[in-house]
Amino acid sequence: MPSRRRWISWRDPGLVIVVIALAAGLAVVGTSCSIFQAVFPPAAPQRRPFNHEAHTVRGIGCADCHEGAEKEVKAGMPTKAFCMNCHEDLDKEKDKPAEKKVAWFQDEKGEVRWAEFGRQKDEIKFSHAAHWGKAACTECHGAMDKDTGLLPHGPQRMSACIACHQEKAPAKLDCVACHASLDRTRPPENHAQLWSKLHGSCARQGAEVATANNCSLCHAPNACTVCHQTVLPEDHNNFWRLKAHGIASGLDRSRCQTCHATDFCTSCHSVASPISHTAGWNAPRDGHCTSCHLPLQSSGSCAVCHRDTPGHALAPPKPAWHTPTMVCRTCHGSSLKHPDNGDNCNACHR
Amino acid sequence: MLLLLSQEPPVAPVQEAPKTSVQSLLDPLTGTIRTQYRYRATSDASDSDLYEIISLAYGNPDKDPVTAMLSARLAADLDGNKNVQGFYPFTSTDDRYSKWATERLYTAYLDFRPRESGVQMRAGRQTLDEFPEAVPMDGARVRVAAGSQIALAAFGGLPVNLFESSPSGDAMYGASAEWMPIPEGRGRYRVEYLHLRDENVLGLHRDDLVGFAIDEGAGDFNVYARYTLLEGESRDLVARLSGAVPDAEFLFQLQGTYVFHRIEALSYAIDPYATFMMDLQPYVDLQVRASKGFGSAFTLDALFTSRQLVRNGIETTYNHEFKRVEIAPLLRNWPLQDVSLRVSWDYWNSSGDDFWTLSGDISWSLHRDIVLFLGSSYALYSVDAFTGEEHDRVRTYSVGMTWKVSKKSSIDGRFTYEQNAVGDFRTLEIGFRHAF
Repeated sequence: MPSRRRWISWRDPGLVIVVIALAAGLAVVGTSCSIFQAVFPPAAPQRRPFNHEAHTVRGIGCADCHEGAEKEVKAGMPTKAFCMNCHEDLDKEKDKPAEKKVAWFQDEKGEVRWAEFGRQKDEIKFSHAAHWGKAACTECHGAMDKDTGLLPHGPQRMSACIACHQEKAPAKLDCVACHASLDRTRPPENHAQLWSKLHGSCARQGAEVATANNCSLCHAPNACTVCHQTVLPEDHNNFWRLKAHGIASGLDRSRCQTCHATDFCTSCHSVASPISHTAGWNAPRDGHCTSCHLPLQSSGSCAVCHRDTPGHALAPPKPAWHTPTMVCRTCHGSSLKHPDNGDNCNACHR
Repeated sequence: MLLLLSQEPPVAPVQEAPKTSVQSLLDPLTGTIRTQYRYRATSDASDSDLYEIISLAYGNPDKDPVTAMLSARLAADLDGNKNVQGFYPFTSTDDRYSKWATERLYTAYLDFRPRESGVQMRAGRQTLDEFPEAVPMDGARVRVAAGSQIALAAFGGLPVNLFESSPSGDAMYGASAEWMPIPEGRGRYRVEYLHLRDENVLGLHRDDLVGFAIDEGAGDFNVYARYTLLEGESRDLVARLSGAVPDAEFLFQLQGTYVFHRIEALSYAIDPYATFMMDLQPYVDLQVRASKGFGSAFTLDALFTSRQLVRNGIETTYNHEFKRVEIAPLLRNWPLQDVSLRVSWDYWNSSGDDFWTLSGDISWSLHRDIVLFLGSSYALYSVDAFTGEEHDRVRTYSVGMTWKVSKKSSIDGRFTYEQNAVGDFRTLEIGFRHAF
């Protein structure tokens, strides 16, 4: 059992690292996504934000500019000519700031280029006409009517769609209602590549992080437990069960813990003998004890079961003044009272 | 149902038999049940087992204030418990019981969420999967959302050890606090505390684990880091960057793990292995995973891991430095439509024990609902035990099929022939799965 120590040591390198990590994390939050945008700039030129509020306060409705919202699949974006119906004269005003003129949104070819924050992937089936009159524009697009161009608007989140459909259209809650390439019998795209290795970290991020990683959309909440307790990895064949698991766990025991998170080892090793323990294994002339006693009480595989064997757990402890960093063989290399099997002295002499 | 009815125009009453209360009670019940038969045989021994795996959910967590969950497994040794002394090729963990059928209850809990309160209570057998290790517990947990940016949680109960006959002397409790800087954003900052008291056959363990975790995301990228202290001393640090470049069909994950100190045996719930594999020596582990798609037909997955002992860590039988490489190409619908070819090569290189495996299988969608597959694998284990080096080879051949009988039911079968250093094994598995 580990000895009790005080909780915080400021000399602890781990604590220094976590403080630095926390500071870095806070810095990321403070700058929001700007760091990522700087490192990974969008391919298309940055489009300029539009002041919706300046128009809605003048009584201009959403469908006045987005003409397709009422009767078409896409709401559509206004053309320059459409804007100029009102701005032809407005933009001639003296002292009118440049960002309030239509020309502000023109590209080098003289065409207006709108930011399409709400654009969904092509596989999403959505009709503005089908939703017209059943939900206000702001129910999906947020407070776009009060947006001055500074609010960050992303694509509508699926959680919002589901919340509304649960209340207003429960019959259209299935995947195929909105997704062209997804249903409950066909896994999402990201389930193909590396999914068997990556799904754990995605699952731990939780449902709120990203809809695509929300396992509960298709899987029962206890699917993790059921699968990890009942479905074996491919290499868990009979040889693995009888012998190879010891080799693999010796390399990376953390891999085992994905599924075997309880007292699994104790259970089997208390009743099962290794395949090397044949009928003659324990005979007096058997090599396992006559050759050298050391592996039995060291960190070798014998100690997995034989850790409490009388006489093998009685190695004298190290003197109190010995520190963990001392190399035993530096002083004791030529004066050992038993053969040196090259193993870890600290395993027995604790 | 009520919401749906409330939106429909009023209609004249229809003369029909009223639904029974039993039907309405069972409506929110969903789940799966799987029955699997397994026959294994060598030249001089055989074993027949039957497994029943059930997973039940009651209610909709998004709507209902009270929901329930259950998952369990029943295993029956059809030819009796062969708890024989000495070597037996089909020894199982279930053989420690002196009965032919054993049951395991993985989860069984009740969730209670008072409407618009931000409170979630869970009672029963559950897994605390938000901790560094998923800790199973019989007990209760309360999670309270304090506004949209802070969530607090507390729990207490008994740690679950599936193979322990008595929970005497065991206890666990703890708490966590989570801060989300941006409401509904992806950033999460967590502090968590876990106390475990575990009295098992090898002694009493009392462990205190404190963790700090960061989870941040932007666009297609995600950063995660977790630092834990055990008994007030740094235990480990895990940092991970994962991301995707969808247009390039590229996924990647970089992960680093640093174990600061030698870790001795702990409570089973947070470390079930040190009791048997001895102390865990400090190490640094660097891992790169990547996946690249080449159109719809070809995908290549790769993994590289390197582990080095640090801070005077000593290499022992169960503490190796190693390098691991895994490469897994996948061909879909090529060269023939409805045919997939998958190959996997996994290579572990260490100074002591090494092994590598090579496996491949080909599957053919004979029909929309029927898939046939044929596969083979080879493994070579090089063991450098104190008695000298030995090489164990394993060859496996398998053939099988899955048949989706209906929208909710499927049947699968598989026959495997395995040659290894112990003997030749023949395994037949037949399963039936039904969802409701």
